[in-house]
Amino acid sequence: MRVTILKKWMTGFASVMLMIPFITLRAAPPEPEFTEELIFQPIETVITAGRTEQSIERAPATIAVISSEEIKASGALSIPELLRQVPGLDVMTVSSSHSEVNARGLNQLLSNKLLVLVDGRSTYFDFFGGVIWQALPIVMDQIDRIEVVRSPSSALYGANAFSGVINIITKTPRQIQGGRLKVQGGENSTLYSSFVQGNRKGDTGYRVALGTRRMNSFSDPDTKFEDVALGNFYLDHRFDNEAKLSMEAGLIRGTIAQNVRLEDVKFEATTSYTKMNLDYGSVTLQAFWNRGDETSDPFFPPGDDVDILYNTFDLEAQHKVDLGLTHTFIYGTTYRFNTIESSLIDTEHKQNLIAGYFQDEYRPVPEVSLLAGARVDRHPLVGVNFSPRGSMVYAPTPSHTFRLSVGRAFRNPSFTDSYIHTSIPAPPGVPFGVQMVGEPDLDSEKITTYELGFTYFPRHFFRWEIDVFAYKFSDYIALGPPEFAGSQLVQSYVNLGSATAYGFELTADLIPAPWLKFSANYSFQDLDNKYTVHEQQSPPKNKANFKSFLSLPSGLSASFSASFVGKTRWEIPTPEGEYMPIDTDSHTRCDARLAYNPGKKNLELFVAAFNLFNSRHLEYPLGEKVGRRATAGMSLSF
Amino acid sequence: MFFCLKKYFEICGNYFLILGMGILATAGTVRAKPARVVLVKSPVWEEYEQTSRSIVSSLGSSQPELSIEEIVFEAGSDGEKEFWQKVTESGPELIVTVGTASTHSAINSVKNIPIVFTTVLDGFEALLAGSSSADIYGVTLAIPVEEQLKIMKEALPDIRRVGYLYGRNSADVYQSAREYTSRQGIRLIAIEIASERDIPQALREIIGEVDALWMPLDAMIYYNQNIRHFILLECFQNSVPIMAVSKKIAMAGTPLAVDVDYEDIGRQTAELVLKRLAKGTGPSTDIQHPRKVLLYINDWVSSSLGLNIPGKVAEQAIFISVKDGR
Repeated sequence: MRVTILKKWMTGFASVMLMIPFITLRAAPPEPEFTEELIFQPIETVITAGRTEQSIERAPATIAVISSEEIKASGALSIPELLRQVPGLDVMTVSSSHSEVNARGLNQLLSNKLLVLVDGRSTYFDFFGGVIWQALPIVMDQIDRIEVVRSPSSALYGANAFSGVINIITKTPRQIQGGRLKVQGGENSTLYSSFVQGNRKGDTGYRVALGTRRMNSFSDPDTKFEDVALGNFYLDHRFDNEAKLSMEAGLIRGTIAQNVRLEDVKFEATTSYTKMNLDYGSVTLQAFWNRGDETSDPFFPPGDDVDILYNTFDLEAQHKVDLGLTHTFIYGTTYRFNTIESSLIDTEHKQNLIAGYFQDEYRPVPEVSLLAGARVDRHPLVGVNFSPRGSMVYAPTPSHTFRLSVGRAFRNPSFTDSYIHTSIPAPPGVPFGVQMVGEPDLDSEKITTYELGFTYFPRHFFRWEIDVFAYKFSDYIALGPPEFAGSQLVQSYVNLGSATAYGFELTADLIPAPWLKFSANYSFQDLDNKYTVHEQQSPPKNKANFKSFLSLPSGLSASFSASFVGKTRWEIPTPEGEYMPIDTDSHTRCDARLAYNPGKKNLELFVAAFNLFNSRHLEYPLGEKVGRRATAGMSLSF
Repeated sequence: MFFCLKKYFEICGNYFLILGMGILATAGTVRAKPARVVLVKSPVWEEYEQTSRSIVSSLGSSQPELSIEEIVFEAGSDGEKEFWQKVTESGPELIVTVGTASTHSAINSVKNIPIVFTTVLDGFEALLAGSSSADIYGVTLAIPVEEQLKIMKEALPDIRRVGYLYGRNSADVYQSAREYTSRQGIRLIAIEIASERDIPQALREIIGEVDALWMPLDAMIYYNQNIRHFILLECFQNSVPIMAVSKKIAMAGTPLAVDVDYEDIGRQTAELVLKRLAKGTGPSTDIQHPRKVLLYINDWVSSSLGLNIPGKVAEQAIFISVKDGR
């Protein structure tokens, strides 16, 4: 049935592509008549104090943007809390400090299919193939916006942009222009502090950010789940008006708790990065070094302590070529070198990854934009992967935009998938423990996605969007069922199977007054599971989000958001190495923030509540019940 | 003999008296028939009214005997041809048109009567090209590129890189701007836009590179309200000051904008009217740019962006205070 749907989609796409030549035959329309009457017309005020409006642009991909204003209004202490409101994203709170994020039904513990970039730097943790959100050395106040692409983007970003890309973009020194101090604390021994300062003098700009974050368990407020200190520093300089060189470095250090398989494990972690960018005309170069050092008590007592030490060196070069007014061509290359040492894998490993890519955007007439791109990645174990992508954007009028895209993406096996080597001791009453071993001969996971989107954007205060998608992925990598190898029970990573999925996302933004904003979205997804051991794991079919933001001239502002997530079914590992299907109930969670600016524009006092009504619920069967985290705080700008 | 001479002189005197009176009477008759000017203003907008009031007042004070008839341009039921037939029937020495609508129509319909246009933003070259006679004077609303950039540099003396997005019809503006900025040691980072859909991406491309965005009048940039909103918000969020054109866009949220003084446009137009009347017959052309340009500063936006506008510039500028609401 679903394969039939996919075929219909493909046929439809092919038909539309065949129509393109006829569309492009039209001549470009003349520019509109421009008389003085246009500048006599009254213009609505766009920028005022306390305005809630955001700039909304028509983007070719299914993209959502979380602005700095929304980040501030949310009162969120971590990035996953912000992402919960994005349509099509699955955000799972495993514990008070540990969340997992993925797109369109592909979420899991130690989620590994989403690429997370911070200012273009991949934070992908090659050890297990995902991101450790607690280990990102940035504070919330330094984020300018978060762009979320919830569709495969390997054609531009390579491996790991399997289900989408989250690009966290920080504020430039000029955007900060001064300092901001924030302190927030409350229930569960929560204490968050941050200090951001930045400025630009002539051709040189700098930014410094420092912060601490402490969050204890929901169930036991005395149990420390996250206690970290972090900092980062950025410096840029322009040369001869043509070149810009920037350098930055950051570090986070402390205790973080993560549920890695059966229970929460506390890591002592130090994660750092150093990055350099050089922009010279249409050429951009980037080099960075990510380093992580994590130690913990044994995952499976009484085994050995766990230590993980990894280094990633990454070089990227990109050249953008404008081939006339309506034609843009980008090509580039990347080189990535990884080293891993860990007690969880068999031996030290090194890895060289190289890739080349291009993207061509052609706008034959103003109403149509055609994009084609492809990337070739070489991995030492799986060989070469080819990821093509094509899309068409058609905007027949300024207020209507149609998007159609087809893309293929992949995820290479992680070091854990290929080389894990550890033992799970036999639980009481069970005669055998389990030996977990990696499989170097795995194929990449692959996904092909078809998307159709429509945006109706008649005025700047109303926007409506629908995105319909269907995808098929194959060669899903996970631990297979345990098997006896001699007298030893062995569990190894395998390419388990495939899945097809379809669904849609509806989004509406409304700004009825400059001081009031509403946003709502609904996501539906149906996944046909042929990829887990019991083929029973199932993501939530229905999700809905609502948020409102009110800002009054009196200095009061309030935000309220509610999220509904439908029932899910997980295949949970057991101590014996088996999997057991367990359901989690549907749940609704509300967050709220109330802020007051007492006359002096530099000071703000606020109270914020995560899970306002304390709806105790499990979002992952082996996680902890999500509780309320009420906090109060102040922020001072200078 | 003496009597005869006396009589002779009396007769001659009477003759010269009559002749002199006749001359005076003739001269008096010329003075009693003042020049007649018809002012045809385009409808609706207050800016047209303001300019028209200023023209009438300036002409009235410098030449009280001038007859000025004000008519609102209506191309409605009777059509343009009939409208101009009525206007020209009364035999005006000169027609003043206010606004593009009346100017465009007059140039296409009126022959052999000088036209002085005013409050026309753009396209007067095309108007002239389409005109059968070149007897056209006028004051446009177009503020010269050099003047806009000069004011911008005075208000933001530290800028070194200026961003500029322009449509294909503004290639000449780009050329002028490029020449001026290179002379001033400013780098102009400009992107030509094929369609308004390219604006978000183009703006994102340059916004991190520039110290300010120059936004002269351009159909591609100003026409679509959503695009204007996008540019204003995006620049504000990235702390990039915009220098735009028109007081209204400064009220909407650009920190700086230049605009004309419509009263002065009226005075300038009145001077052109007198100049043309004094010239007498024979076609000629004189198109002028506004001589007085005002700088508007949105107080809240500029202070939010931390702009340090020199006191000398701020003293001459007009501050707009728009803090809350639409």
